[in-house]
Amino acid sequence: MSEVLALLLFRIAARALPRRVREAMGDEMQETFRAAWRDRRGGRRLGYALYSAADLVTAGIGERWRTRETSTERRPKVNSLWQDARYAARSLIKTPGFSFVAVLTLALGIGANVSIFSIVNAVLLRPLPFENPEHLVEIWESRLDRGWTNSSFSHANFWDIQDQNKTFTSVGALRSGSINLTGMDYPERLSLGSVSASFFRTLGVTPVAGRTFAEGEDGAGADGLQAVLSYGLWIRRFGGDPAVVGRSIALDGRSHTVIGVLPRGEPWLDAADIFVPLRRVANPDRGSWELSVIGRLAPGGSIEGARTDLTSIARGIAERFPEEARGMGITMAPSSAWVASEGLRRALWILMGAVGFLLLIACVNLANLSLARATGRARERALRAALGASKGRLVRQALTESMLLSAAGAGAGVLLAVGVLKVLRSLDPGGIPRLSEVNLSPAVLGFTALAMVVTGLATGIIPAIHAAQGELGSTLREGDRNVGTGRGLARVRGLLVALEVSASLALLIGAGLLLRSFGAVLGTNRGFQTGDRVVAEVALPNAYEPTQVDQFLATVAARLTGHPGITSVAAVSMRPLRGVGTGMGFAASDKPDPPSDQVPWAGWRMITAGYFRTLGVPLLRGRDFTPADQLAKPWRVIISQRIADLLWPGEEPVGRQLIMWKGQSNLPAEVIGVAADMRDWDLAGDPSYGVYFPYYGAGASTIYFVVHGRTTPEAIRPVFRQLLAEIDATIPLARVATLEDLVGESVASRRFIMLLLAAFASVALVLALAGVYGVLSYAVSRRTSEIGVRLALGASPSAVVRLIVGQGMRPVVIGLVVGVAAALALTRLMTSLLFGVSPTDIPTYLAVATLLGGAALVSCYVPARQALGVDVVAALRKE
Amino acid sequence: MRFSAPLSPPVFHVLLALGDDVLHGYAIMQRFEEITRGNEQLLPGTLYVTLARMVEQGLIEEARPRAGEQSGGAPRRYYRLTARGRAAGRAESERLRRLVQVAKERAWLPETAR
Repeated sequence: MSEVLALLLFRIAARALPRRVREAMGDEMQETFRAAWRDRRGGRRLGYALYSAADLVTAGIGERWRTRETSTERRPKVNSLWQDARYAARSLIKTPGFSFVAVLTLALGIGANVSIFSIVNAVLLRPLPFENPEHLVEIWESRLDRGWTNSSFSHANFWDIQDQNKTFTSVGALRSGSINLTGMDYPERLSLGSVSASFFRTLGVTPVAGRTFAEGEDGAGADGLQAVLSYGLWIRRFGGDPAVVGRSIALDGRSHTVIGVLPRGEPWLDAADIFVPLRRVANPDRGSWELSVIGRLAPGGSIEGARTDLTSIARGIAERFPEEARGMGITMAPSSAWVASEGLRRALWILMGAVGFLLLIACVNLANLSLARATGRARERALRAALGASKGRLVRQALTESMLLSAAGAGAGVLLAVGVLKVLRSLDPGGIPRLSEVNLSPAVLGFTALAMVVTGLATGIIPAIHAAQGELGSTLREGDRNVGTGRGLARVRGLLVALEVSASLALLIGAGLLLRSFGAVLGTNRGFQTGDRVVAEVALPNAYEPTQVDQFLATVAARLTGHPGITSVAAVSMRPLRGVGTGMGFAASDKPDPPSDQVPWAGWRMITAGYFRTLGVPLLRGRDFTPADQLAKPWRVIISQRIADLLWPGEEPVGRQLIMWKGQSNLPAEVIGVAADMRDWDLAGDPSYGVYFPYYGAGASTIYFVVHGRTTPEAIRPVFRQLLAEIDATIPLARVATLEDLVGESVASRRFIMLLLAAFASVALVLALAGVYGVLSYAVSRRTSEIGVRLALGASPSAVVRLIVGQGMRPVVIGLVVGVAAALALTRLMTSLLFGVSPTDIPTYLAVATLLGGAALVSCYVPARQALGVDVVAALRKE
Repeated sequence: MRFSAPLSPPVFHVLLALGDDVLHGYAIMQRFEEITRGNEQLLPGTLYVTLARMVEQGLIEEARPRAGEQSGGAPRRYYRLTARGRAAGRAESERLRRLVQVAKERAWLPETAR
């Protein structure tokens, strides 16, 4: 938002203040606002301007209310305004059909804007729940030699930057994991955040009860048995009782003391259910990257300064550890990117642009309607002018009317938005952060007020200018009949129609592209089957020995396989389409090494025998694992087809040696099989390079069982519960869902954005068609006598239809051409949201333009048919 | 006149921010954000309406800035507390203390340390 706009908004809002205060304080207040606005950065400025404007209006109204008895200063002006408003209201009530359509049109436009702005406000503009969030940054390692730009930190590198930096007040680190909460009424698998003691201090968080970690509680000698609860866990499992502070709880069977409770909020505060200290170990490693690192810049410090500081530390580390830290660098980003990913931000701004278009179309429609109505009332206005109403008064009258309509539209729009938001919240598509916090905040109401004023002006200005231009004498003489057929006015109407058509075409094309992308994502070859597959997540205590885990896997598989309807069961360490993967660089031992920045990356998973069969994925060569294949004894792997094609094109891959964690530990492994490709990390990506290890002997704690057969999650859940109760009552069952549903979830936010845009585009289409129809049928009604004369002189009905349709379609065609050009320019902004379709996809453009053109043709044909029904005799008599 | 009725929050906030200093509006705004560590803010509309009313009610008065505090740029109005304003601030604090005392007895305020 530019400063000029912010000041303009502020100045408009300042009109709410009583004149006395405005005159005494106005200039200085504006200076103060300007200074405070400049203190803020980026998206927070827009929020600040809106909050300040809303605050001004409420403060002004409050002050006027307080002093209402004493203020009589501007009675006369107010009276004439009041008179105008009453006059406008009366004339709107007299034409209920027009008023209803107008308010409905504006309610759709404003309601859509308020809904989307509420989401934008909550997701992108509302400040983070931390002290001075503008000083917070997130920090990553970069390893440009490997092509990584944003990598998690390794432990040793984190402790080094914590000890050596000169530009941060503090830095903190978080490692995500999971842990079992036991010893209460039922066991539960919790997400765990291990944080350095500095972490919450860096964020600047005030706990709602107790304290956060103290200096030294993450030391090498500390016991690490303190826990801080997230707000959600505190409410869910401890009833929000502040007395929980000081209590002992069992995590993976070890007793921890609860020392505090975090406030509610995002991000970080909800990164885990429970937090424990991340203890500093004596010999931390530099080869596994698992810490998320944040920092608080020292007062007056800049991101650039901090980057220089950390980069020089990174260079020092790289010099001391040329093997592990070669090419280490630093990437940093401000906290403003924390809540919403780049893709989501972009999607939301695109939606905001889309509803802006929608409001534009609504305004244009209403301007056209008002114009038609105004010409119909030209005589009434001429009479008022003759009786002494000034031009200014007539203009104000027209504007008052449009303001009144837009106020009613805004009221209805807010109600509509409340409904829409309620539906959105209850649908919660996933992938939209803070959706539950979306509400009608003061900023949203300020935005609504702004939209209302803009709409009132936009819809009123053309009829108002028109009102001022009316020619008095001729209008009074001729009556209404011949007014409004003038060339200038017809051209304005045509332009407005062209504008609506082009805006709705651009919207429809955007929606069409998203729709095709969505179809492409769902239709892409996943490689694995989803029908009749159920996935159940089970979390074993971290303390389980590998042999116990093997035993557990075998027992579950044996028991379930015997169950009626179940064809096969297998386990995997990370189910398909779940988050970002565990990865490794890889190469072939019998081929030349690729340059170090071109080592390909594979996602790896651990699986039990029958995993591929259970997912319906063909095993192309070699053999499946058996329980005799113990992890790393020796290393044996199954690889995906793409790896085989990359490393050993046209050769036999089975029996070759794969080098795993290339550039790190460089472990050799024997390839024993090749499985078909899957898109199991992200549907909208290339099939993954997949490396599979045997689960046996691994002792991993989170296990996903995939069950193939005629069954449902509801049928599977009790079976698992009973099974777990028999094996070990402390093991929680996390989640059971069909693979079909999990696929659906992975595309949920894509579907959400697409549905919203499609809904807006549909409304835009209807409004634009109504505009085309309205303008043409009005023109036809004005031309009845001309048509009558033509018919009387022997014009064929089809010629008349052609004439009328031709007149109606001219602006539509212009609109289509302009709309295609606009779409070509605008859809480039959505490239990152598209999949399998280019932003200039010709079939989409053709289909949408045909749809819109065809629908417009129908809307033109109806008035043209009406023209044929003209009573020739009556029309001629009128002449 | 004794101020026993509660002060509105913005009035109390301005009193707290002013303290013993002579400040202009923008400085009052910044000072208040410092006091609340950025968790609350006084927006310009509320602030200036409140300042105007407080001058009317004699809680604060316009004053000349202390030497060295006059900044460049547009001239600004500076304010300081009146005796009456100070008394009102004390009375409000006393009132709040009694309320907080009750809250403590209800154990709504566990002793928090950071």
